[in-house]
Amino acid sequence: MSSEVKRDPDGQLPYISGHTLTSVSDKISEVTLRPMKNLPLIWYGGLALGVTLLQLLFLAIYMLVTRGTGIWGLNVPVAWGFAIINFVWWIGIGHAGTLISAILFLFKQDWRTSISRFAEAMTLFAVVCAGLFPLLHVGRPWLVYWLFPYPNTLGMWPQFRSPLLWDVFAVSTYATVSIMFWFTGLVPDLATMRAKAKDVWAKKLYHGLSLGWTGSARHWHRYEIAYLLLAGLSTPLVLSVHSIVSLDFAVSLEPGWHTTIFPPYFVAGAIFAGFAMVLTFMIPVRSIFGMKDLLTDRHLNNMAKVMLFSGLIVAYGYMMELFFGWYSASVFERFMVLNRLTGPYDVSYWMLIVCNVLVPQALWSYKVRTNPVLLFIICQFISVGMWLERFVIVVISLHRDFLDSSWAMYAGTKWDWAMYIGTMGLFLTLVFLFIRTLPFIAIFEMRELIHKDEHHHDDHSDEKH
Amino acid sequence: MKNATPTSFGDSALRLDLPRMRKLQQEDYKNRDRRIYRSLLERDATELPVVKSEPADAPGVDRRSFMKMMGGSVALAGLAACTKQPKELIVPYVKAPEEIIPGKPLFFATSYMFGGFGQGVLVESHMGRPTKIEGHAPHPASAGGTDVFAQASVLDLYDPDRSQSSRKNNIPKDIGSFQNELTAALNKLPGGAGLRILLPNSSSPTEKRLAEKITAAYPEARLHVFDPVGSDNEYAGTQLAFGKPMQVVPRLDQADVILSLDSDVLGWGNARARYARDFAARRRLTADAERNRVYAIESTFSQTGANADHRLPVRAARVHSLARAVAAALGLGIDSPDLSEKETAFVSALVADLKAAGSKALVLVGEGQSPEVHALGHAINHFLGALGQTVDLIEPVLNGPLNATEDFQDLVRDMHNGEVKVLMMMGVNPVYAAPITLRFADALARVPFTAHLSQHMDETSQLCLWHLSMTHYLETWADMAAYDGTLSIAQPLIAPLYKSHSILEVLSMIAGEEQTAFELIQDTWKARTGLGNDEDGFRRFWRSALHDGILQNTASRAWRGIPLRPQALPAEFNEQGSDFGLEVVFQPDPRVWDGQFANNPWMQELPAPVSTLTWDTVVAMSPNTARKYRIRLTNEEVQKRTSVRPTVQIIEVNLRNRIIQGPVLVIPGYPDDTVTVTLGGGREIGTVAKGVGFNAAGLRSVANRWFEQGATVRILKRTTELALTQDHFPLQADGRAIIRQATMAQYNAAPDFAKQMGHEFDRRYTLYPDWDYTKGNQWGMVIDLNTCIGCNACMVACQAENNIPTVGKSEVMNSRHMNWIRVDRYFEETEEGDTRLHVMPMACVHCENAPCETVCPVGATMHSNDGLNMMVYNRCVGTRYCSNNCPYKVRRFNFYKYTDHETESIKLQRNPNVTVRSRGVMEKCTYCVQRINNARIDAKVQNRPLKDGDVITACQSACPAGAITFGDINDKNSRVARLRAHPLNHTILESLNTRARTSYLGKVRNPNPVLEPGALTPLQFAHGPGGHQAHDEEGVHVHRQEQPATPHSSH
Repeated sequence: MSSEVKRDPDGQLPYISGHTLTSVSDKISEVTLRPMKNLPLIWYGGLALGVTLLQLLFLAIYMLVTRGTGIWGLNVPVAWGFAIINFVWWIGIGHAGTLISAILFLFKQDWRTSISRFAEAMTLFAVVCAGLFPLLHVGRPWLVYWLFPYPNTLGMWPQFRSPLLWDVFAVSTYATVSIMFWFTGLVPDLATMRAKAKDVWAKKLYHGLSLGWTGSARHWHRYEIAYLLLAGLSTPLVLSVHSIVSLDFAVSLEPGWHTTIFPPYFVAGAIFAGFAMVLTFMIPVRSIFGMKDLLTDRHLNNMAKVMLFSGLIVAYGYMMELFFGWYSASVFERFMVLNRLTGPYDVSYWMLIVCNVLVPQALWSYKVRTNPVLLFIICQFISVGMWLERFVIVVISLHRDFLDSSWAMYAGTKWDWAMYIGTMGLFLTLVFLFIRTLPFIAIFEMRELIHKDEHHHDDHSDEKH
Repeated sequence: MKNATPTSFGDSALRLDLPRMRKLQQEDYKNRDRRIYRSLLERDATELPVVKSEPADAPGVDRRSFMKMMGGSVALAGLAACTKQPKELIVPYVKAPEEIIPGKPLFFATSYMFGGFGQGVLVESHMGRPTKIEGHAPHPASAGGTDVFAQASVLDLYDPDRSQSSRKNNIPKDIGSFQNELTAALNKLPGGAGLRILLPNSSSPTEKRLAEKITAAYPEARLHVFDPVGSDNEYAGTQLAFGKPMQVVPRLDQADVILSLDSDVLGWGNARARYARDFAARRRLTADAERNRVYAIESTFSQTGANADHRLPVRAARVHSLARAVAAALGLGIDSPDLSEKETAFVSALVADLKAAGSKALVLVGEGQSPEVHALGHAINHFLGALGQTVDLIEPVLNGPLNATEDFQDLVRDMHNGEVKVLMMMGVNPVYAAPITLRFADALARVPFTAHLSQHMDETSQLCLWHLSMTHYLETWADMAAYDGTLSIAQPLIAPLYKSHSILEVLSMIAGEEQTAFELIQDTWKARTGLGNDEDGFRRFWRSALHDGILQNTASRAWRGIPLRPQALPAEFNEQGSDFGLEVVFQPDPRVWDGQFANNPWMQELPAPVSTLTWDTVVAMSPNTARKYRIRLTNEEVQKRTSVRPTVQIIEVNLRNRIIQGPVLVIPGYPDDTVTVTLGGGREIGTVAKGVGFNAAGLRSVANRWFEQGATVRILKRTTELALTQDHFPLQADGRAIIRQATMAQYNAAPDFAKQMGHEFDRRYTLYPDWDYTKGNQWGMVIDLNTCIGCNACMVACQAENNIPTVGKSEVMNSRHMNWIRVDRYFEETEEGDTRLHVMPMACVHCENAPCETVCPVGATMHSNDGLNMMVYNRCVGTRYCSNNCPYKVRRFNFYKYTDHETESIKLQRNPNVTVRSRGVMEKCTYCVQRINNARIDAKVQNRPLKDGDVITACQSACPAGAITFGDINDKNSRVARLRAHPLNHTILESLNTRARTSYLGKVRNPNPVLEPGALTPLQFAHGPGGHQAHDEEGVHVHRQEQPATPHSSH
């Protein structure tokens, strides 16, 4: 092996460089197993920030449950606000993980390997954050279990025609399958951790979690089949969850909601936002823990391409919304479009266009795609833009609908923001705990990659000789 | 009176005799062993220190600390529960009072006096608690409907801020001491010189009798009347025109052409509810009566003006000139002042119509106008032969003095001069409401003995030596006359909740008799009927009078053939020109009136008819006036996106050094160079009233009570937010076909124009089979937009019936008001540059294909077999999806725990048949399902099917105009089914395939083609009759072109 960076036969940068099977294991598990005092300060900072904001979430939930949804800015034309916006935003963010793990796995995209674990974890955490909102935004949160079909003495079922009920099934299925998928993928690595852990408690923990994995051929065989099946199971979910979430809107009568384009447009938006969020964490983490050799610029490049593509679908969606407004020949639809473009919330609409349509066009450039700083900044635009997209859909549609007598304005209150920022705290807390306690890159898959890589290289040398 | 007898324990010996126990305790204490003591103080004490139990309204114990104390006691009570309780007996009704069935209300006829005029009402009583006011059809002032004030009046009974006992210098003291002090004070006055009594306007014969009695006993005493509104100008006007004060009784149903000269007969008239009914009789196109035509010349934007076919907004001072111009053009022999081009056109068209209508014309003059204008109005009516046809003149209904304001000025002058020694004020609040120029509070300080009878410890009470608690009208006996002189005896529905007295009782006290109101009323009527010695006869009379709520055939006879005096048409006339400066017009507030409803949360939260303002009083002005004084229009901040809600500027209005500060509300359709302020704001007492709005009395003078020129305006740096239920949004899209209107000519050409303006959903496109609604009772409602005057009585009625909470100003500002029925308001800018106003009552329309039902995840909103869209509150978790998906936005959500579960007295008002909703639950109109079920049960008991008219919803029953019809649409002979078959019938947003059960009758105006040339052009529809296409691009366009005057909220 030469010291210079190897390139693929097609001249691309490699997904992993300068690693042996052992070095990969050591490097990744070291983050988890190193003594607390050796952790970078920024990890402590990140966790501290997360936990602090988490307290804000607890306070916000306390206020909400004791006082009522009135502490939010909701009113009667705008009966959904931040909670639903944040729900859809978080669910969208939670799409990248499964997409990367399942779909790219099925398509045999090897580059997914080093990001899949992290992305999957983020999916789970995002779904946790998302799940809080629909449960808490109802007027009587203590009765929210009525949304689940459970046997009860009243003989009451939920109302199956409601998209909100479909949501309950879609999101809970998604969360369940994602956890299974994520955990299954973790088992071989947990065994590695078990082997490497020195601390008694860590050893016990990993021992328990690794479910008696021995690394036998039979285990590997079973594992491969299980993982493939779960990948197959997850794949339709990636498409279904956000499609169903979009039906919350599409099934209604509201101008701006009642449109057939929503399912694909929401899925694309979810992938767009999900990749942006993965990159938002990936870029700093690979610097902090010195993982640039495992999370290479080529990964950035590939992810940026996915963002560009999904971003274009989203932009198409925006265009179509405008087109439908005109083509429907309905005064209400037409007014809705005009109100988005020129109404009192026009700033949020145009900011959305800037964030989600104009700024991502920079990704056409290879230099931008492989520049972590620029990419990070673009990801922030996309995250803001995707939040604004949901604001535009939820609030601007509702605040002026059919009868102008009911029109009103909406603004989030401090508690709306507290809840939103609080869930970010929850997310940060979970992410930083995850980085510390579990290998955030799939060790065995990376080893597999090195194996493949070497094998592949050997083939080439054979040919040359 | 049929109160439920309270459960009695029978044996008085078993009663907890606290005084006796206390006495025994004291005796023990006195005989105690003094050798053992804790302190010297204790040793020497002769009396056991007793913790004084303070009366409930004692200062120092507010509700919060009371609750805290109670919380402590309850916690301790929990501990005590561990011990075995002594055996106690409770006793049920062994013999239930006759007619009382729990859950079944009883109805009693009584009368409500407002501004001195009686209005018959039926009061719904649940187990002895009056809960709801209904109209009383046999009473002429009600004719079955009610106005907003009567509807809201029941809540005042339970107002927790009510005064609960008499007080001297703000310390509770019993009324016996008051009587002693009063007697002592009166004994010092020879012949009663220096005794003055200040009363509100009243038409009570008993009060008149007592007044006579008092003046007989104290010849030097004087009785005065104070009313911030009153009828002075009306009486002075008839005095001027005919030489004697008379009551004007318009017969709106007789008039073909009505000219309103600043007369808000529908909002301000003495019998608003009756006038609305008469007015509606000539607006209803489903009956045979010919459609009337109404012209309004007015200085504000009144309900009457909003319902006029032609409206000319002018300054109040200009109305006189226009009245002269009309008289001149009719040929009454006076000179016409100079008119502008627009005024000339208006007057000439109007005069032509008046002439053509002849004796079927009617000129109405508002109380706000001077007696001269009133006299001109009478002259015109006289000239046209309308007297006795469309308007009657009767003996004044009020007891008087009829020149109340002048007379009140005398009183205040005497007070200032120290001539008044004893001042008894009852049911009036002059410290708050008297025009500031009188300096009433200063004058009051000069009276040595002052007493004030009122329901609240109000502004006047605070400055008086004595405060006496006054009964609510549902707590006492009374008698009164309606606007046309019809007499009625009012019976109480409940024993006084507190130690209160009525005006009659206090008058009797002054006269030295001390009779109860019941005895006083009976004495009056024994004398009046001459049945004093015929016990049986009187009992029969009494029973029928109470039962009927009206004394039949007591309406005053109209004066006929009274000659007009030449003074009615003076040759000399000088108009106060606009160069005198900005004009200020005063109006009683359409919600809180003169401030008497200021502590009534229903009224504070009721949107004012034109402005939709709640919880405030404002300086209202036209956009032009605002521009002239560089005041911003309200929506500026929203347009600039600096705020999500519009703020308004606060201005200081200076009228000859009388100054008020208040927020500006710019409303299209107000006349230029004039501002309108309403009375009733700026109260200083009451948990609800305090701090709401500003007190317009601070700007009023006695000389110009209703309008005055010469104001200056200064814009203050402060701004404020107003709680408007409908904001003034700039409207960008149009052609929504919400209000569907046409002129008479257009209607005659295309009677189903309203249907054609919409886009009916083509049912072939639906995948699902229709639900079968052809069986059983299927409920539906039709609202006639021709007769609805937008008075909002339905809103208050609904609130009372359905236990709807009020939410407060900040919640209204965030569009969280809870009213199940609202009256939508739309402004329309006409081609001629005028502003037209449309109203549309909007509640849940009970869609057969309800969008709310499919989206509820827990099935909390469902459809009943009889076509009701139902809310199951218990099941609702509050996702609010139903509200989002409701195109009519009629669902209201309990964002907080809005219902007051703490205040005991308020609980008594609640309708026991309607669930009180908790926090986090969606609610909406139920079509008064409790009334439907009551009727159904009654029908079942009588073994008969439900018949038309069995179910009357609360809004329908309250509506004075009879604009709301409810019933079974499957019953082809029901009124509602007949109206649904009328060509004008249409639903709104029908393109959404919601199949609403509430439909509307399209609005038809009757404009004069001379003033509105477009009135004769037939409407054009994009699609031919019958051809409905769901989405028709052309339809929208053509509709917009042909109807440039399509309504939209402005500006």
